[in-house]
Amino acid sequence: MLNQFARLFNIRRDELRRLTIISIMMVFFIVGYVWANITIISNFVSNLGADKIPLLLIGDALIIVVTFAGYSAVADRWANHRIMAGLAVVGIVGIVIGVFFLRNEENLLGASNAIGWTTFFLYLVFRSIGEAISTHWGPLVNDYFDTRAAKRIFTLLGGVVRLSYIVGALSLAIFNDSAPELILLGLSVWIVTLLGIFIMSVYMPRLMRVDAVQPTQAQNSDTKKGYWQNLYEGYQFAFKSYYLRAFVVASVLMMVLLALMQFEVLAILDQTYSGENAEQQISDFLSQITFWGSIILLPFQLFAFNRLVSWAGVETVNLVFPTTSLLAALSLAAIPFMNPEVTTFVIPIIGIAIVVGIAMLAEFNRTILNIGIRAINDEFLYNAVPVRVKGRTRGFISGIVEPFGTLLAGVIVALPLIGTNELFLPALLVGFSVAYLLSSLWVSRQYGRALISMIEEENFSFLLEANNRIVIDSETIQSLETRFKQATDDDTRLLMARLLIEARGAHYIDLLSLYAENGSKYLRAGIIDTFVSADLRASRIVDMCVKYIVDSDPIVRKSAITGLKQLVGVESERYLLAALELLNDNDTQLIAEVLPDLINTRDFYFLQHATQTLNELLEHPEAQQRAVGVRILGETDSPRVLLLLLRYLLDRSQVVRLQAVLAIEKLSSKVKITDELVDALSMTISSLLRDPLDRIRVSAVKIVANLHPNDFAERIMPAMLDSNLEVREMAVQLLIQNPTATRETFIPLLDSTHGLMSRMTSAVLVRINPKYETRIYEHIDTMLREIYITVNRMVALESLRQFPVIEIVQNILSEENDQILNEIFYLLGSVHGIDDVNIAVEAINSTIPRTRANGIEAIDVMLSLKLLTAIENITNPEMTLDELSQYGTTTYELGIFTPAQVLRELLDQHNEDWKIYVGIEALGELGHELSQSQSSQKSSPLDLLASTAPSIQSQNNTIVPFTLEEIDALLDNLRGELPLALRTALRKARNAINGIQFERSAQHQGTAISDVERIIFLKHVEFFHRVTINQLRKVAHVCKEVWFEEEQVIFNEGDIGGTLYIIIEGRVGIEQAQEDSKSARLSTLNSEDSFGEDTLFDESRHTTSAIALTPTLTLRLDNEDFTSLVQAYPEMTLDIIRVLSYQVRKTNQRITSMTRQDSQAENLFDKLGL
Amino acid sequence: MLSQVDKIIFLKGIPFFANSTMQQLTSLATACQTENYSADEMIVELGDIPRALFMVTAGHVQITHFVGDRTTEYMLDSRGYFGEAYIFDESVADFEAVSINETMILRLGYEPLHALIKTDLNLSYNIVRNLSQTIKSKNDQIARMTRKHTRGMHQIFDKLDGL
Repeated sequence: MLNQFARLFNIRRDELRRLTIISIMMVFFIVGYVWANITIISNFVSNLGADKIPLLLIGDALIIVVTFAGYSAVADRWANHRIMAGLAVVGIVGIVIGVFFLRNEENLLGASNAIGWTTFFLYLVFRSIGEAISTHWGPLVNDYFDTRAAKRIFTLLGGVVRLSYIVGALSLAIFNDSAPELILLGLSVWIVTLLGIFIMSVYMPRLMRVDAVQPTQAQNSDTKKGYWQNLYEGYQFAFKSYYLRAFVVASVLMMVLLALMQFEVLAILDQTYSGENAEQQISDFLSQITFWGSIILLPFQLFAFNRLVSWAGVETVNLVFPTTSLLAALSLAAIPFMNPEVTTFVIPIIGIAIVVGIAMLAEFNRTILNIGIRAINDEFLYNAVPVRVKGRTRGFISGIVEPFGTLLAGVIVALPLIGTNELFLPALLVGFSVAYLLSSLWVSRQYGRALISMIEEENFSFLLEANNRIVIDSETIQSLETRFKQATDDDTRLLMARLLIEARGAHYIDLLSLYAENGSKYLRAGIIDTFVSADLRASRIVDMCVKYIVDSDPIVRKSAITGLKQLVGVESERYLLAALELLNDNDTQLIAEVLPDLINTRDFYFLQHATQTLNELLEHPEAQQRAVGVRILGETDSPRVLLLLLRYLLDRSQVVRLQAVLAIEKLSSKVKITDELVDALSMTISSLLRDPLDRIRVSAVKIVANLHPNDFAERIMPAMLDSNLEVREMAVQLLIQNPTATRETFIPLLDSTHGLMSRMTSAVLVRINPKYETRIYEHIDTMLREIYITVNRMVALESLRQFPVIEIVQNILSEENDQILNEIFYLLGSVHGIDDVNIAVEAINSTIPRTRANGIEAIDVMLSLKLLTAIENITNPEMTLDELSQYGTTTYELGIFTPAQVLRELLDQHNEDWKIYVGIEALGELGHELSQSQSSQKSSPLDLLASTAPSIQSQNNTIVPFTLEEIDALLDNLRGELPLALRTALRKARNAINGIQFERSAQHQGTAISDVERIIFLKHVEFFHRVTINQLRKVAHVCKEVWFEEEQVIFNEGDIGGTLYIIIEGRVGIEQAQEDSKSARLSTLNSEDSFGEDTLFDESRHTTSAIALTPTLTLRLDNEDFTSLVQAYPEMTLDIIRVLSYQVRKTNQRITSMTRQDSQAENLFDKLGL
Repeated sequence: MLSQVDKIIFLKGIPFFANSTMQQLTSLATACQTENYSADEMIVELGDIPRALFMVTAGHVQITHFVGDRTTEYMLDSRGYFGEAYIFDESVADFEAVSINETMILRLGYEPLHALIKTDLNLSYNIVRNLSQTIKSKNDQIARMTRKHTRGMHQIFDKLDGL
């Protein structure tokens, strides 16, 4: 039953409890609100008349300012349920005071002044509490539902609100005529409902059973700020954001418009209803609108609004209320132009005049649609404001901006022009409603970008901004100075020095210089760096730099020359003479620092020395030195150097080649190149577009564009099909700078049969002309279809997942999907901005549900519902393969695959031998299992693979949906001209099928396991758990096999570390030597365990020994290889940190379990009296 | 109450951030939250997912590790820190942390640290080194508590294990 209810209203089962509690509170609030609103307004208009409405509006504005003064002081500071409870209490107190005055008004004010002023006071209480609670629903709901969930929940709550309005209005209509004192009854109902809200708010944490978001998130809780500072912060956030600026303008215009409408409607009511029953009649009019309006809106809110928002998007729904407001304003504005006969025409069914009918429509728009559509959609719009500032921003908009609008309207309607010129008000209504619509359009256009900014805020990217300044007061400076003087280590002293310079600049130069002179080399270098980075240009610092250029330590000399260069400039003779002196330095980095500056002087005196040194570097036998020389060539500004650099493109060292390309790239962008030079360079550079190094290809694209600025489009076309996205993006960036030529070259390629070319062409053209947007979405749709086809391939292999190679095949397929998904986001970025899409994608990949929901919301603005859902599902970590397959098969009408089909496809990948290799291994593995089952002989498992494969209980063929003949047929298809590696794999697979075992031993020649087997192993090692198969291929390639005999020491305590070992086969003991030739065994490691990681990064000495306990085969990865891998894939560092964190936890647990064991033993000894 | 400068100085003293640049320290100080605890207040409960680094700036914190019914206890004073092995994943705390007296904690959540690590390999290297160092010292501790044997005895035990 509950499940059906949840499905009907598009909510999750676990959300039901929270939703019910919020809904009950909402019913309390709205019923009380309706009673209070209608009875107080009716009382006010009937007693004070329409001419007091300007007073009502001005009072309204002022009380809202006061209300939000209080609200902002606690928003984002207190827990939201406490704020709600507090608001209810304030409301109850206000009503009690109001009732007291109502009862004693005549005694207190005298009979002549008594009528109505208490009603005015009650109106202010009602507006204050009503507005504060209305505003606070958003933060309260956001505490318990993330952005995506809130989108569904708010629309449902909209339905609850509507139902509550019906209940409130209906109950009021019933008691309207019978109640002797309507206003007292209204206030009583309001008190009861506020009491309900108070009780539920107090018990909210217990009722919800879920932790709410803490208000202190991402902010310093130690800074208690006052109301004005809060307001100022809200103002700052609002005006820093383009989106919120639009929001502010729209809010002001809306409030003026609504207030003008209210004035017009109440004026009509005041004129229409008079006499003793005026209060009841007005109350009746308002409750009828509330009741019937709610009845009309209810089905829309329950069943259509949710879907409308999903289908059209928040930004489109944002235009609904401004449009209906424009229509209402036009109707009201038309009244003065109507024929009096028409305005008195009575519609028989409803029984009201046309004018009253228009008033009714305007009031329906102002109240029902305003709350039912505009207010709910505003909640979604506020989802694009970071949580940490949402409360204060809302406080500013609701507490200052909106009252300002109401106040403005109050002043306008108080103008005498209103009474004298009957066209003045209609003109204002039309003018403000058009302006409101336009400003809402502006808000809608900014919504998507605002979501991206919010994600940036919430993922703490703002921390990376360079403008995080430190504010230091004078008291702290004193303490810093003391700490600087008393510091016992260089690090602390330097930190204090930096803080002192940051705070007082040049004031501390002498003190710090003194300490530098007497301090270590690190302190000397650090203090120079501190002065220079603070941009202090005092002559004392220049002298200091000159002095330290002859320092005994290269670190200090480097800081000194860099500082001098920055302070006096590269052309200064003082710098050049110092630089010349350093040419004889024995530190190459220092020489590299100054050499380009000396060459670029063109002064013969400096040039001859510099050239000689440069030649020595360029001819140096060490690659690193040559690379430095080549880099320096790139920093000169002579085109002739380009020819010299060509020589180094053929250097045997990859480092030198890379530097040569980078140097050519740099030079070609800054010097004018003659046609002869272009001819000489062209062919070699074009060949670099196919270089195996990604970075070289990126540079080659740039160089081609530099060499052929007018006709590079066609020349860099191969880069558009590059396997690396970075290379492609570089080509795209260059192409869009030359739109005319690009259009001519690429428009014919839009319909290319080569999928990638067609996609990249669209990506280029859409950046030149947005009309190609549709093409991009078509490509995205096709690619999503491709992804779901691959999901079906993965599902086909799911039953065979226990075979390690099949698991690798699944990983390969999964990574292919990741690649397609990356391309989809790249294409989306070509329409909506690469940076924005990247931020959204990062949020989508977050493990925090709230952040992920924000990411999806940001993408929602960019895509249609179908594409969004497909992406949302495929990126949802909670979706199983079967669920994804089911969705994809239905949406894209896909077929299913058999395992044989998937493996056949793998063997057909002609461009990627290693995938064929994996396919052969997979068939060998399956064939081995089949042949074993058929012969029913339990022999040793297939070498290494069996060690990771779980034992298969069943010996029948049903577990492997192949026959041996089918496997043979698949392998037979591979005959022909195969590379050696594939031929070896094929032979090995056939041997495995025939039960011929592959023996490994220390005497084995060559490598014992193939790259694929290494990948399988590495994938199971904690260190490489998240590393992709593609990356693992590189790891597998660089790691070395090492055999250890039984009892052989792998490393000893005190040996230099820097090597990671992964056990493939065998056992290793980790021990620490103690006195008397004894040792303590810390752990015994088995296959797939790793050791040596604690010294991998710093190459420190081992504090333990590792001993092979049995013949052991390991994979060894050296620090150098590992570091270059980490540099290529920085995300690996997080995995390493996680592995080490896990080991710290494990050692902690070990220590804990050992501690107690000892004390138990001690207890035993105690008992025995020993 | 800690000023931003105090936080920077404090963070610099924590081995995790010893080699961090001024810019990084400033950013980390911005992201850190100060939390005040009175005596005997629970800071991290057994079974919580801490996902944060807790640094004691004033007062004392009692850490109790649990493994089944076995426990180890130690006390941290100012400049002590805990949670370093729990910040980078969603591991459940197998320890509890209780304030002994009036205690002030600087709490650094995962997200800001992750944002900084993403852009600076040196910071992550430093964390790796720090964790490696912790493992080494814990290994030393385990070695001291473990029964020592001669090589020959180890071989016999290994043979028995292999059976």
